[in-house]
Amino acid sequence: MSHSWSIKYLFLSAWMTLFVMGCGGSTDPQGSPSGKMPGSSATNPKRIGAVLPMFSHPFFIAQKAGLKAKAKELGIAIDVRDGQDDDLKQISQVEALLNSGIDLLILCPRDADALVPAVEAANRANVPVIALNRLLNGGAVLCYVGADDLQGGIVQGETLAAALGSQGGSIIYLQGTQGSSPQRNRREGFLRSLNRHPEIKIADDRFAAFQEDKAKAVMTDLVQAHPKGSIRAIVAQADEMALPAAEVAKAEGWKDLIVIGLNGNTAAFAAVESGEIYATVLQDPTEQAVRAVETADEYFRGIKVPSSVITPLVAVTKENVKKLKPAY
Amino acid sequence: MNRQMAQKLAARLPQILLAVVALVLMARTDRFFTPTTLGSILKLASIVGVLAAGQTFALIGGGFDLSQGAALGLVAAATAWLSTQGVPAPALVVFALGLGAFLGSINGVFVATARTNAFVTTLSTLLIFRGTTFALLNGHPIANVRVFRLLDEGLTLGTTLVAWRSVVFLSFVGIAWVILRRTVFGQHLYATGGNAEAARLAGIRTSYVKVASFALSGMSAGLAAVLLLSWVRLAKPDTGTGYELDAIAACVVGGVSLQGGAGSVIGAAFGCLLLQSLGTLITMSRFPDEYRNLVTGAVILTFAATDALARRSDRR
Amino acid sequence: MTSVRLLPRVALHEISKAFAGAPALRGVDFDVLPGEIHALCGENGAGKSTLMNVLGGVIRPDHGKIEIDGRDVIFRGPADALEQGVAVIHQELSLVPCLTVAENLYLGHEPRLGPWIRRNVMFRKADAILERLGFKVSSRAKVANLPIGTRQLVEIAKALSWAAKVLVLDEPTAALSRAEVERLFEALADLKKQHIAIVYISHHLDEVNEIADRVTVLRDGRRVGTWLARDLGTDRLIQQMLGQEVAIAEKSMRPQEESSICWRVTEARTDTLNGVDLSVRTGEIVGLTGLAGAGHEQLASCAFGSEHLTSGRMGLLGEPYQPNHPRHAITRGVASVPGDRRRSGLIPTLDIADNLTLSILDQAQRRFFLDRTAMRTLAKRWCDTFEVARKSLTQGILTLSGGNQQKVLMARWVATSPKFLILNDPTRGIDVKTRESIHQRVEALAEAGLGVLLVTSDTQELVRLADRVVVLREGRVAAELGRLGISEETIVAAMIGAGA
Repeated sequence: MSHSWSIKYLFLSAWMTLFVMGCGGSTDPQGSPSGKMPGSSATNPKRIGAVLPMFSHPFFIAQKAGLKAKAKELGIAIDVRDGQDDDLKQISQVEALLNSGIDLLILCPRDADALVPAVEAANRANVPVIALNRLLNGGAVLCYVGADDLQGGIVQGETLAAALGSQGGSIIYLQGTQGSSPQRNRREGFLRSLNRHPEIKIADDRFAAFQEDKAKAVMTDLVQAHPKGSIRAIVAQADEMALPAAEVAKAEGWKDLIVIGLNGNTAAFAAVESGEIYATVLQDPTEQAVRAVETADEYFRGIKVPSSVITPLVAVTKENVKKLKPAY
Repeated sequence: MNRQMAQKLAARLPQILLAVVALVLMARTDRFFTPTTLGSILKLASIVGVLAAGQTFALIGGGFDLSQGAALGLVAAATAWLSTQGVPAPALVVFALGLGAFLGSINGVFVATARTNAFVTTLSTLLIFRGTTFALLNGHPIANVRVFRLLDEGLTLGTTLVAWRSVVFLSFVGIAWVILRRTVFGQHLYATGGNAEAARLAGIRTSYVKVASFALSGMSAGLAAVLLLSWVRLAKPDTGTGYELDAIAACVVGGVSLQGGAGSVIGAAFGCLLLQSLGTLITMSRFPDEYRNLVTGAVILTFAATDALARRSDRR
Repeated sequence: MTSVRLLPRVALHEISKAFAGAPALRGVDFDVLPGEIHALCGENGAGKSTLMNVLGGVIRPDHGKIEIDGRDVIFRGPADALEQGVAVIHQELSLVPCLTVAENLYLGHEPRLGPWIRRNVMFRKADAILERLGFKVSSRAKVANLPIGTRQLVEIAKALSWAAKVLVLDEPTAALSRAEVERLFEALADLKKQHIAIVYISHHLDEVNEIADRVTVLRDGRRVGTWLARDLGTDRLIQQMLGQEVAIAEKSMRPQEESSICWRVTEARTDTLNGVDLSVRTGEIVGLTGLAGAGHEQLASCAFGSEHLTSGRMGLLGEPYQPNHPRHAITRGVASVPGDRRRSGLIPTLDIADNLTLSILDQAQRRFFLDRTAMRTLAKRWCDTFEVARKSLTQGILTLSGGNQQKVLMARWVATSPKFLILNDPTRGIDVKTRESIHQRVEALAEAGLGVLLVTSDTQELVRLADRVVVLREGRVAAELGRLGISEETIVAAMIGAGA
């Protein structure tokens, strides 16, 4: 039982010793706590820290690429970090970046409420924050860049209402990961829009985790549960669920079905063009990322930046699909 | 005797090398060994650390608790809801610990009396707790929970702020150590995990011991929920998802045996701090995040494999 | 057979092996001829296991060579040794309980056609082997449903399914009842006729005398000598093993009749017990025995509260006694030393002190806390009393020899100062010297006024210790032998239901 302790105690005591030494030595001016704005002298290249909710989704991969490319172009150092799809881990990343000394934080929060402590930590360290893609419900933010999930839901609702016309009808609503922030916000926006259109009824709504296989499984059950022709539309919170759902419905012989996705990925663009789905909502991660870095650059150069930079959300249908570029 | 020591150290060489390499890298990383960074690591490790200390009880008793993260989520949701009804903070802390212990003891009762496998039991309760949380919250988060704001502060050592969360974490580890090493219950827990049948025949009420070990694991989830609420001030349906795996990883790195009957809570705390340090190190050294999981997994496996091999050579 | 010089089936020459610098074998020669049973004897730690592991390919010797049928060979591992005809049957059997006999026999070398197992061929071949051995076991029976003695036979059949020429048996009778032992010996005699070479490792010296042709004695890693078994009586054998004589004391005379009843059970019934009455007086050692499944082990479990009677009454020192858990039994002054040390006695993850004090932790408790210094003191005192040979109190319990492990367990239970002591197979797999010291201690405890229930299938032990022997058969008392009636023959006869 005791054999493995020696190393652990060694490590722990080294760790603790350095910790205590650090605390004791912090009275002399050299050891002033980090986190103060370090790069205030103009000769230093500026450094941006950015934390995205996760690296495992193409949307954020595109966002990451956009951030890096634009920063390189403008000669700004940038460190883009992975929130690992967890609120606390994302906060950890922000704290670690703040400790390592950054001049500005670009934060795409996984959750609008949960990441408030991260913003507060940045505020305490006097590091300005640009909120990317999602608004935050607290803390002081320099600027908001993007368009959020709530608006995405609203655009979906309005597109649906226009497509169904005044007679409305019953629809199926496929939601993402149960309880996750995009699921809740897209739902809220969508329902807000449907409130204005009482002719549209949600006949069934299910969770499908933003995943192709789950969406297929859920839809396979739903086509059994609802008689052919009773459903006029399927709205999915992501293209990743919209396309498989359309496929299953089509195989079952459902006709004239209006399918609406969200994100605007390459596959969805192709499906809109070929008529497999009716529409998707384009939320361009690259554009958002570019605008965020541009805003940071303006701030560094002492230009006053606006409190929000809204990148538009566009409904992509057959009419405009040729003119737009897919998000990822 | 010296020869034996040398052999034991040789058997542990991979771990020693890893710890040394980590310390060197940390020392070479700008601003790593500053009070702010280390204080921040201690604070960031606190929630998973408390879970790991609780998990240690379950593991030593020969069990396994996959439901910790979900129990944390459920306790956080219930506590947050009560706070909106104006229940004061001290009562909420008691409630959170009690609810956590209750949820844990559900696992314990199934494992000890129905003899369902710990893995299956806690996997099922994970889903049950998670589902209950979702129903309780009706899918919506409860935000702006401010009752625990006192806990969000800290005490000042020199010019460094040591968060109360860190203090709670270290105290909990201390209490857990005392329970495990300085009480009859702790001794009974080690015996039960080492060989439940022999422990029963030695007159130990192994069923109670098992239930208690799971209850303590659940209670740690309750405490972690309080810490989490004090920090993010928010309870969501997916709060704490997967934290049990981080806690188990911390225990494994800290040398707690998944076979039961061996390990220490100090080890688990060490494991948690090491993993959090590693995480912070990866960020601060500007090591690309794309390889984070790969490195973390390799570190955990190195520790687990070294432990297993060293144990095997001990037995010879 | 010794008149003709036969080529040994397997021969070891000048084998040496050291572990971490400590020599376990020092230049040992050993051989076994076809159709011979060659017994290997020695105290715990004499090097028997190491030699067996060399034979089985588990350990590679540092020096020396191995010959099979006169050819030099090297074993690359247990599988290789098996391939070359040497099969080792360990004390802990290696059968898979949920498979059938045939499946076990051919595990790892199933008759196959491409990826498919030819099940019919497998069953037919298995039946052939079983028949050749004269075992009345169906090849389609599940191993889990077989009694332990039959499993031992299946293990031997398994070795032969690999076409083994040499069988190494490690303590094959440790878990067997007397009748099962008889059957095993018959099977071994048959194997001899088929020119199989057999290495027989056992602590039971009477068995060695009974079936072995030659005996080799090891002591401290050296070969003391090899003798024809018939030239070497048990006494000389012991002398050679120890290098000195162990004085096996005469059974001490204890007062009887007039002492009061310590523990009694009336009309005990469970799924196997069928109305058993039994009592133990204070200061008396009562032996309880029977064939496997006769109910004697279950009765002992019931007396300690780890199993429960479905009906019947127990009394302890004149008070009613109904233990629902071992904890309850302990508070009433009952102790039970478990039989299977590894399975139900020791906590393998803990050290000597932890294991010893497990049932007396209340003696080291100060308010809410455990006083580790007091615990250490207790452990030291009891280790000294029981003469546990150890390097330190914090060494792992499994690093002790079997005899010392048993002493720790005895100490654990004697430390609870019991009034009634149940002993289950207290000297299973233990060397002669330790065995005698444990026997003397048990007698001393009885003289101090404890009631002792000795549950064992070791008839020698019963003869050595018991004031009275109760034999169970099929859940009933088959015989009760008084002091003068106890002998190995009468006990065995009662167990199998012959005469008596």
